Amino acid sequence: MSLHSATLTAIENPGSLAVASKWKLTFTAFTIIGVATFAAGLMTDSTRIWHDYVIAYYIFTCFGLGGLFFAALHHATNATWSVIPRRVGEGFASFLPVSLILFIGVAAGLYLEGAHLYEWIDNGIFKSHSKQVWYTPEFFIIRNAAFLFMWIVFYKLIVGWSVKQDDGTRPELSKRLPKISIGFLLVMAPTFTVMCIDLMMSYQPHWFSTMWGVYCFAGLFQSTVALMILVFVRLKKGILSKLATPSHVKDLSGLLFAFTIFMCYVGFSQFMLIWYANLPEETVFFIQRMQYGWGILFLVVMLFKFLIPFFGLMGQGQKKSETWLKIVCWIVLIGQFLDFYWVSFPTFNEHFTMIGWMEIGMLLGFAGIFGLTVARFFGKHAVAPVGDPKALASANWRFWE
Amino acid sequence: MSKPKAAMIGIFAHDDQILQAADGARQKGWKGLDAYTPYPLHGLEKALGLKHSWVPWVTLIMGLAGATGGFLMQVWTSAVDWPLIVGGKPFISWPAFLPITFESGVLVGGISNFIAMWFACRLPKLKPKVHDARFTDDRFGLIVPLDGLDEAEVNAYLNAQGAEEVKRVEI
Repeated sequence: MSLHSATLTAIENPGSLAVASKWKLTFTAFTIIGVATFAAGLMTDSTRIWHDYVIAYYIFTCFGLGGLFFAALHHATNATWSVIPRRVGEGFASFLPVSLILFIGVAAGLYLEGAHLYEWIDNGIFKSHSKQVWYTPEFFIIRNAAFLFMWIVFYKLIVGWSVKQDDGTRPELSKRLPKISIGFLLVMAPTFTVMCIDLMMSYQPHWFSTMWGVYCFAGLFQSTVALMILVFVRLKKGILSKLATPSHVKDLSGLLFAFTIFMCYVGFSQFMLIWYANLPEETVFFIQRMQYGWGILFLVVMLFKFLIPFFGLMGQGQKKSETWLKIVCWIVLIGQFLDFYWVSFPTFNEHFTMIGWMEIGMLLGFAGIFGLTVARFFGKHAVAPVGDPKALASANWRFWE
Repeated sequence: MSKPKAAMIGIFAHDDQILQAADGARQKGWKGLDAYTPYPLHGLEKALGLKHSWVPWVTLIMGLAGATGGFLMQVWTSAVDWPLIVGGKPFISWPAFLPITFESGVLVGGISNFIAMWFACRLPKLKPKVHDARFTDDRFGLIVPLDGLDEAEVNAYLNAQGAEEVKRVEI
């Protein structure tokens, strides 16, 4: 208990973040590497680079959506502790408009790479009429673009209102935010389910899992919280040193721990039901991903997304140590990539393929764009929602110390 | 129970007062501090200088032991003692065992936790000492054992920290 460290009586606006030019340079360099990798990949192995594009696109869109989900969850539950870290999630959400632009890439890949990217482009493979209607490139592009557009509208409302509060003149917006947030949560559940089915499950168009949406959601929130912790810990050392407390970090890591368990629960439920029923049209997904060397990756994903973060975040001391937390968060983020690498690549590589320069370059490219977007958001707005009526209570939040 | 010891008890009306008082008493080097509060008070363990409880270790070890035991029990029953093919699957079909493994881990961990808590709290206490009935309502009590301490000094300290009432009790 930090009884002798002065408890804040008024909140001081930390202002916007002047992102160090070395970071901007790094992110710009990453973006250039990404573009160069993409161009080089198109010339050498276009199928692989388009898959990499979709994986990286999916993972980073998840960060954007996950950030908005965090903010919406905060408003919907009327939480107090998470006011200060909330802005990090809102910063991530500013990637959503960029994500809509980058969706053009997915659409282009659909037409340029065709059946090598998504087998269903050849509609004749389906016997069912409804699947033939569902899986047409036009409908795919329209519905996913519409979802992104809907999320952007909610982003403009939820984050826009939150930013408007920053000067402290609009506390009444906090009464409207829960309603719009609940609306977003209701919209997000079905739209994200369809999007992850479209982007990731339809690699194997004959296979289906009713757990897929919740499986992808678990990965979305787990990886978003991990990235939020990394950013928040970094901000806490600098611009947020007065407002951010170790209790915030510990609570975020508690959330990461909870969703690590959720990830395992959902992943295992999906696996076990398919394994148990042993129906050929369902087991094909796992058989393809557990043979010819892919099984190793399956185990690594389990290790990175569950076993290491579960035992690594179990104790209080582990949740409090920022150095250790950073390691675990990076492992979770790598696990999120490996997970979707493992989902995507076996569809066009029967044998295990090592991660190469294309995957890394593509991820760096998206990381660069993401970093620049978030840096731009923090350059324009305060790094904490200081106008929120509960900001002071959150800055004084001490669960332990 | 061991021999009764003399102690001073300060009764406070506000939670931040008892936190301050406990923190100050700990920093003076006073040992064996204890507190009564009507609800859990975050940070009080630290202010009183209490060590981490050993109960979570019991839960962890017994939980893992329960999970291992549950798994081995299924292996033994379905593959060793009476091998039975179910659904054309191998004898030790570990995915099918995991739910029960998990449940037995939770069960054994939970029960061990419950029993360990009784030991840790030295329950049951058939004749609990009630120093003040208001500790279950709206007052907070800080206990400072007197071994070797000057009664007047403790009394003055608790009063200075804003105690409504300070009295001498046996604990």
